[in-house]
Amino acid sequence: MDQNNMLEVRDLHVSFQTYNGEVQAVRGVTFDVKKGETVAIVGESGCGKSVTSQSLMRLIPQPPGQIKSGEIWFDGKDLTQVAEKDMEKIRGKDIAMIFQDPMTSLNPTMTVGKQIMEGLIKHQNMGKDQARERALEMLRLVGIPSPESRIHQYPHQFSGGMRQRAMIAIALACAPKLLIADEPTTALDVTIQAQILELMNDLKEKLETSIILITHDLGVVADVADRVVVMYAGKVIETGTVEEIFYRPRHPYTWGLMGSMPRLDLEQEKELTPILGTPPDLLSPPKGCPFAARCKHAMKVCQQEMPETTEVDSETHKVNCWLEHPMAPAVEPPAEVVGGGSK
Amino acid sequence: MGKKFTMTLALLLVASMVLTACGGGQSAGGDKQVLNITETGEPPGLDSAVTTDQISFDILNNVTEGLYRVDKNNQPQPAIAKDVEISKDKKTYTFKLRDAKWSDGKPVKAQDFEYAWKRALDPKSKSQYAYILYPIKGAEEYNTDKGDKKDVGVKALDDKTLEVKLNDPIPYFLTLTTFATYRPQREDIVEKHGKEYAQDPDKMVYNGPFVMSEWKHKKSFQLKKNDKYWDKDAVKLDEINANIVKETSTEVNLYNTKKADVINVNGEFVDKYKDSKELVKVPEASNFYFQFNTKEKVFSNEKIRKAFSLAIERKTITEKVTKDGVPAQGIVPITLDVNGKNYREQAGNMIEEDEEKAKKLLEEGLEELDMDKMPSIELLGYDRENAKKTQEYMKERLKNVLGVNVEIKIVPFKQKLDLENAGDFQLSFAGWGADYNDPMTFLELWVTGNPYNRGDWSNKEYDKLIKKSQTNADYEERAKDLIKAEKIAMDEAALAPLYDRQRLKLQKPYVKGIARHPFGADNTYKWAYIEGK
Amino acid sequence: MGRFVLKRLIYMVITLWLIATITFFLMHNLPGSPLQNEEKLPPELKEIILKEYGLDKPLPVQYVNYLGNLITGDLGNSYKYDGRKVTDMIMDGFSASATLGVQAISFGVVVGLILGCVAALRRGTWIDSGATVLSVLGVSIPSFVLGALLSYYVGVELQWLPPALWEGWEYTILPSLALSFLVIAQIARYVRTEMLEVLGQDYIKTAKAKGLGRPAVIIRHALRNALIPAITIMAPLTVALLTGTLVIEQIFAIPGMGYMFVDSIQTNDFTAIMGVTMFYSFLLVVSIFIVDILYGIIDPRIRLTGAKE
Ligand SMILES: Nc1ncnc2c1ncn2[C@@H]1O[C@H](COP(=O)(O)OP(=O)(O)O)[C@@H](O)[C@H]1O
Ligand SMILES: [Mg+2]
Repeated sequence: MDQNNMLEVRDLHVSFQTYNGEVQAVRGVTFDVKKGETVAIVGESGCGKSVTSQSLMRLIPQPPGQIKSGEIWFDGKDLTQVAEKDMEKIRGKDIAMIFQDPMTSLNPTMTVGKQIMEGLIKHQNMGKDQARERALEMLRLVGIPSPESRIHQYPHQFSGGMRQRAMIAIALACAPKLLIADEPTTALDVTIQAQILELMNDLKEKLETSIILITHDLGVVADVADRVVVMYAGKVIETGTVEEIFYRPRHPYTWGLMGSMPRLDLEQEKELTPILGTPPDLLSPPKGCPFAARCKHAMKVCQQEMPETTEVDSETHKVNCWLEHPMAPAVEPPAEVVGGGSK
Repeated sequence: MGKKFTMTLALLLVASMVLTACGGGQSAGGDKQVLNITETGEPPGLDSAVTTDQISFDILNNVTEGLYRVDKNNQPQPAIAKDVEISKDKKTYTFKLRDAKWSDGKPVKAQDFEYAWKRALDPKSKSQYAYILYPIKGAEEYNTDKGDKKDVGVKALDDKTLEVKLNDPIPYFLTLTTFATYRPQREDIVEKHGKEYAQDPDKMVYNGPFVMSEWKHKKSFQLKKNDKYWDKDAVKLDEINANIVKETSTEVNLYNTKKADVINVNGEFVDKYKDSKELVKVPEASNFYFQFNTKEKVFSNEKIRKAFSLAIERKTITEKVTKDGVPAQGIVPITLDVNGKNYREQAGNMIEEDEEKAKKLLEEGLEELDMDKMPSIELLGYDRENAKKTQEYMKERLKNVLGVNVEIKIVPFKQKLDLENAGDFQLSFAGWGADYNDPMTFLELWVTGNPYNRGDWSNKEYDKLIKKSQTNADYEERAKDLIKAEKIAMDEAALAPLYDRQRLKLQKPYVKGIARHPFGADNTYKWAYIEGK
Repeated sequence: MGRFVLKRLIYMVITLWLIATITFFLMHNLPGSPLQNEEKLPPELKEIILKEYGLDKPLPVQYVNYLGNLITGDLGNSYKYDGRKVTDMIMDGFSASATLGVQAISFGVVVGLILGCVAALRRGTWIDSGATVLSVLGVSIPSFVLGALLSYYVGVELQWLPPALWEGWEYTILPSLALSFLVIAQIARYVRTEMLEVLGQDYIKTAKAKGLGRPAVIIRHALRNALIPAITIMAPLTVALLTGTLVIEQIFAIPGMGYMFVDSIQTNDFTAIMGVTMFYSFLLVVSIFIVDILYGIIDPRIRLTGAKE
């Protein structure tokens, strides 16, 4: 494992057994996260982002879910092999998670304070009073006013943005090495979104936490991420630094994504052009490139075989596309995609 | 978690089994004579002057004693009275009392009788059985607020002599003195407890074969042998335990687990025990019958009434429908005596059943009424189990034999009485229980003008015979007159008797000597004992 | 919270008054009278007796008297058991019924909870199927059938426990069991559904993501939330239990309130019927009140919004 890497995911396969058969939600995902780095995972909904991130904490419901193969290296351990008891010690302490909907991800029958303290008592061996102190500190840190009274309140007494702040407080209470944020702003309205992102950026710096940020919003990516992982149908099809993905995207799916996703950082005028067609059925994924059916540039080979991972421009920029093959015709990305970046 | 739970349950069961085993000592007691019985309800109160229900009667019969007590053959035998002198006109009874004691050691005095009877008659006592004392001179007047207490014909001449004056000579007065309402009471005890008198075992005194030793309301009570009883050597049982159980199936369960030695059963259970020696049938002095309303056009006709009575198969009702009776042989139930001898043996069976004759009489009757078709008839019934079954059977039977359409109108019992009293019925399913051991208790109902003669049947000859018998001191002639009267009523089909009721009991073979009675109290345990348990 | 409780209390009093009024007027329009041996009673005596009970007064006067007595907790004297106070009669019967009810409820709730939880956590296993079958049986078999079966098979055939009567603790097992079956079934069914629902909630994932162990997740986070809807069925369950005791007490010959109620109806004991009805209503209304409060304690959303109103 690379000394600089916080996390290394190698060829991760995750499936769900359903009445209709095996849903292969994640099919060989590989990526890594460096210390202090923020990695964004983007992709259409249903492409396996959440499953991937929950697999990292071994939180996928089991059954029906199952990590079929692959390795998740974290802190010198392969998390796929760690015993459940030891996993409990890692969850919340070393790796923490924030979910999409702050309205439903807090327990309605427990005070916010208690929900923050719980993890502290479990992981930091803190007494009640000490934990309360720390919880107050966290509430202050995430910008909740008058935390002394807020700490005794229940989630329904908090607004949506406040709840997400509370969630962040819970997640960061034990100063985790890795924070996974699964669409933390999707359910919030636009002004709040910006505040939450700013908060995360702030805290990342203060606490030196690595972040995996799952998002729909490329603007968010541009703002906070160092690197981007693009997923499609349970596979990573392109990775690169923000620069590389935004200015020199190589995969036709990434191009489509650029054109179809909202960008918080751009002027409103940009028109969204959705990618035509639907992702493949993960019950019986195609044997070739999963995007082939929707790809304007698809060739015969695309249908038949999955392309190899190819390094382009730099060692950080990798793509899985037959267009990279020396024998493939040269195809230029659409102009509005490449010129789109404002950086 | 599942395993732990199963374990806990198993432990619980084991624990309870141990507990049960430990508690089982009571029935094992070797030579102690213990009888375990069930009662179907809580005795409402043991104040003999006011109580009206069968369960209280039963208890009082065993813990108190009147001038006379009925024996195994239902004949009155001297009890607290040593003997009696009856005047020539048979209207004055002078009782000599024996040296009996109350359970607190005080002697039973003639004054205790005078007090109790007058107390029962006092309108303020609200005694709903006071009318049983009405044969006594001035009793009815005092009870209905028309006469004076001092005119009531009962008087303690001294501590041991009681004089009773009657309105008329009646052959059954000695049996009447065995009734609960005729028991003696102690003024000092009644006064002391006031409203709470006889509500708990220690709020009354006893002069019978047993005393009540424990009474857990609505749950159980216990009787123990009374050491102060004058005839205590005749009493063999040491203890009677009664549990209050309303559900017959529960009683059967208790019987089968030996927690009860004698229980009540009903028709439902009879089939199962039909051939068992443990099934005891006790005929009652009560019957069920169809009452025709003679004010109704069709039932004003004697032939039509007769046709209805002829069409019934009484054996089917008692054997297949209700299963708790015997076919009636007349108005008067089989169990009653007249003049110390069984009445029905003298009067014979007056019931005739004949389908063909029934059809013929119906036709003739309709002709006499100038009708060409029998209209549909409404049968007034009520909502108790056996009543409903009998009503259904009759509907079908009358349809099949006579082709008569019968519609059953079922109302609550009390409403049925209201409708009957108002004469607002055509045909009704009715019952009557004896108040005393004499045919008169039934026959006087059908006298013209009697409020209970709800069908308004009227016959001068009948009226004359009954009236004469009410005051006739010649008991031989009286018995003959009563038979004559019953014959008249049956010939004219004033009513159609159906069946006499029976009480059904299950009794363990080791229980012996319980005397059972068709009227008054149900049981006497004085002579009962346990043998070979 | 204070206002919430006060409001509930006022509702409670109004409900009780309504029930008292309805019972009173219904009783007085019912056929039947408290007189015994009625068909043979001379009419003169009948009048005297009715006067004694105050039944000769005009209905409004009787009503006012009745309400007045009720407020002071005086339910009057029994018509049938002359000289006994209805209040005393109820208290006599109440201890047996309460023992029965409390045992059935506590046993039922505990077992139901465990069963429901286990079924939900072991979803799809034989435990789950077993719990489902049990729930269906428990809801569909009336307690008196079960009572009769238990009494016969366990009491008479196996002779493990007494088939009836009320003499000591071992006598309470079968009737309590018969009654608790419905409670077990209902609670298990509810808790299972709710538990499954709750276990799929995001906040359970949050709790797991905090590194909490399975017991902490289930007990601290899942159970409490799954219990809220289960508590709502406690009120109707109490009703079912009360009516259940009516028959169970007959079957097992238990000297409880059910016995008393049936007995008072059979004998037209007006004051006793009204007394028991009022007492039952009181119990019921109080239990609903308690459920409401419990609901408020467990679910802060109700408690706090209730206070705001
Ligand atoms: N519990 C589950 N059972 C069956 N299929 C599931 C389950 N959870 C996720 N999936 C499937 O896995 C795929 C990836 O889902 P997810 O990771 O949630 O997508 P997203 O990228 O939008 O987060 C989807 O096709 C989804 O249907
Ligand atoms: Mg997702």
